[in-house]
Amino acid sequence: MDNYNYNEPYQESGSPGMAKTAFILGICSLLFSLSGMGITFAVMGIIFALLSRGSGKIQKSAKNGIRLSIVGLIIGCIVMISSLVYVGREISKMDWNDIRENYEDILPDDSGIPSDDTPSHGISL
Amino acid sequence: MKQSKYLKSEAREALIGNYGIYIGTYMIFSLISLCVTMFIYWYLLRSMSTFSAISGIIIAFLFNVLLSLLGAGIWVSSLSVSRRQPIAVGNLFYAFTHHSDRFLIVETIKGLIRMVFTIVPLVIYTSYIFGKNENLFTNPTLQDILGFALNYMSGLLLILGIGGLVTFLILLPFSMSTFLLIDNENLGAIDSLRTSSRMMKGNFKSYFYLSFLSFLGFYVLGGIGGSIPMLWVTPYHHVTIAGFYRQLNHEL
Repeated sequence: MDNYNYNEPYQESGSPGMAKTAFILGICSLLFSLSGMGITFAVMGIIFALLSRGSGKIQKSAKNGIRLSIVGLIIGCIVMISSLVYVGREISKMDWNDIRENYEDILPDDSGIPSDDTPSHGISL
Repeated sequence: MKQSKYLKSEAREALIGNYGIYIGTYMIFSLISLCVTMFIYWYLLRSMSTFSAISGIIIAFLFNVLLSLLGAGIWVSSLSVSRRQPIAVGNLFYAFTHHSDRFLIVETIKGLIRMVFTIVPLVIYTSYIFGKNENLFTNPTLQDILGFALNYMSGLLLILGIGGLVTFLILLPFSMSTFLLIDNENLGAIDSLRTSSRMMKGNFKSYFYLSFLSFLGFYVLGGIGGSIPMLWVTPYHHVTIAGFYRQLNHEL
């Protein structure tokens, strides 16, 4: 005898909503890959896709979300590393004495921030 | 491995539809923790004296014990989610309203161990490095400040990482004590620690794998993503551990 209740609606395991969100996050990771947010969107896309499967199999939109997020993550990482290298190079080229002189010119005399011109007795936190 | 896979899939399924309220509760807990930690840090760095260092350790310890009581509320939510029961933000204050003395004793013992391996080395390191570089603040250059901050932060992370791992390994036998206190209102504090170490006997490896190694990838990924994805990873981690407790308790 079959005990299955055919009137009961079939409940799919996993969350289709999270799977779709993962797909959208994957697209966002590509769109924002040139800014720093691309990496965050990509990681969230991967995590949402993995969490959306519940105790069942991973859904198609979640799979696509993972693919897009991985591409977004790779582009985002390349952009991030190249910007860091560029900023690092620019910083190493800077003339620090010039920057300090400018910073001392901008600050008012009673600012309380120590500089070469103002005598200081320690820092208060 | 098989057990870990099963528990994780159960946790994922149980969490569907519960992420919002769990994340909300966790964010309130994190906000309170952050405010308390910042206050401790401000108090510790207010003056670089031995008195401030010692009183800083004591204050840090007391606040950590109180925060752990709030943390027990998070475990109440994770256990409820794992059992497919409804959860509420009010669960956060569960330990304060259900024989708080038992939670207080357990958290004090755990807090003492945690303090010895994380807070004490951290305070000693902070006092030492700020004392050593006191001259730096009289006439600082941007390069010096950046170099100091980088050195200080790397040392801080190293101490927290090693201390955290050592504490985790020492507290491994007592990992189930909070769940036991939540489930049995008549169970005493010391009895919960004893029962927990009895339950954990022979399960250290599987717990270490489930709680630490199997989530390492998620935590690394969350770190790369700027910690925002951790809001979804943390509930998953917590509910998986609650599932592990239920398995040891022959519920699963």
